[in-house]
Amino acid sequence: MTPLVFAALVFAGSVAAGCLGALTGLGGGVVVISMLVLGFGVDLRYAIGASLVAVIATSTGSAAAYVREGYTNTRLAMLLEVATAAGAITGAYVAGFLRSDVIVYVFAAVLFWSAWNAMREPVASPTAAQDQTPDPLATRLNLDSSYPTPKGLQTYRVRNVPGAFVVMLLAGVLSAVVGIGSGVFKVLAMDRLMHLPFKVSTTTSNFMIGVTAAASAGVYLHRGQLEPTLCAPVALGAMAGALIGTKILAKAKVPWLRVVFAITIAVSGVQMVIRAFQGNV
Amino acid sequence: MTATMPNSKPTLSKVNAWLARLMIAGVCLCAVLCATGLVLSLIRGVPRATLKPFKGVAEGFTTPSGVWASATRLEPTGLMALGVLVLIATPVARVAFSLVAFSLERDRLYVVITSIVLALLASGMFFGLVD
Repeated sequence: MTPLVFAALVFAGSVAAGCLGALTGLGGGVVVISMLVLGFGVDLRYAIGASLVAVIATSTGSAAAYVREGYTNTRLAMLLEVATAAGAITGAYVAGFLRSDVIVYVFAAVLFWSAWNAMREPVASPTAAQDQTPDPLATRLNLDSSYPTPKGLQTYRVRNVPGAFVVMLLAGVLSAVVGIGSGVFKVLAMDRLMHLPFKVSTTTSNFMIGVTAAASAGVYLHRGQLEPTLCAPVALGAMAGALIGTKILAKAKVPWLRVVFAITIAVSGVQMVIRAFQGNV
Repeated sequence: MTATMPNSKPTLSKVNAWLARLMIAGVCLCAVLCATGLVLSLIRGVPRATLKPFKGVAEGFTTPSGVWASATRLEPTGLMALGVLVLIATPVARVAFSLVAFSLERDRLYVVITSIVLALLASGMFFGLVD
């Protein structure tokens, strides 16, 4: 494969990753790792470094649009970033002592668990803020907000802040071990524990994962996992894909987004397990 | 912002508009550097890096100062690496900007929360480089 063909294919794959990442709040790291390891035979450690770059590219590229349009809850994001950043720094050290095959199994387990979770209907569908009693802690933290819907701005209340905080701490550790922004945990915590509207959960996750990934990027840079010739086409593709994703999200129906979310992570999990069984990690 | 409007705090939507601009600037700068580096490397026929087994990046590309030195020599790989560093720096810059925005809003609680995030990011970067 010539350098031009390689760069073009990696770019194209990263466009898909960025688009899916922006739509699902997952950042697209999952897709980039699968593509590089399974499609191009890249060593998992380079792939993890590149996926970190893809996640930051998707997060930053899509967040500009989502923040401006009012989907992202920037206060909630900042609060939960305390937990994810602390977890990410811890995880970056743990990862250095783990074997690649162990990381792959952890990765796959997380993906299956998440896919199964995402397909279940929400326990209580988010209702208008007027119908809910305010949560004292969320009120103290000024977290209740609104987001755009086809029928205009819809207000919502935030609840179960401590539970989500703990999950975010674990999400941060895992994101650094696995090399993805662990948007999976972020989306699920906001969707399942806090009962936020799905588009608020995914876009706020998207906003946060860039910071989580950046927190551990220093460690990966120092370890030599950020190969520029690989990261450049990945970054360019993911940014382009993220821009496409933001255009789609505004019009997309939530049940469809949930299915895309679940399928994306389940397919990636299957690919990782196959690879691990073949011993090619 | 406050100089021209002494009695009005910047609204959240105004802060968000600036946040969006900051992120667009970071993305654009990264894209220009990565694209330039990539095109130069293809024109000059730089051979493709071996990506298995893992050997780590070439010497000089594990620190920001090394990347900067290479980029200022206009080496294709250095330009791409600098683009990646700009991208990594953008979320950090966004948090720093939020700190300023929350201070202007006199939102003490979120000034504290944002400071903690910034301190964690800084320690992550620092420990990453001395690891």
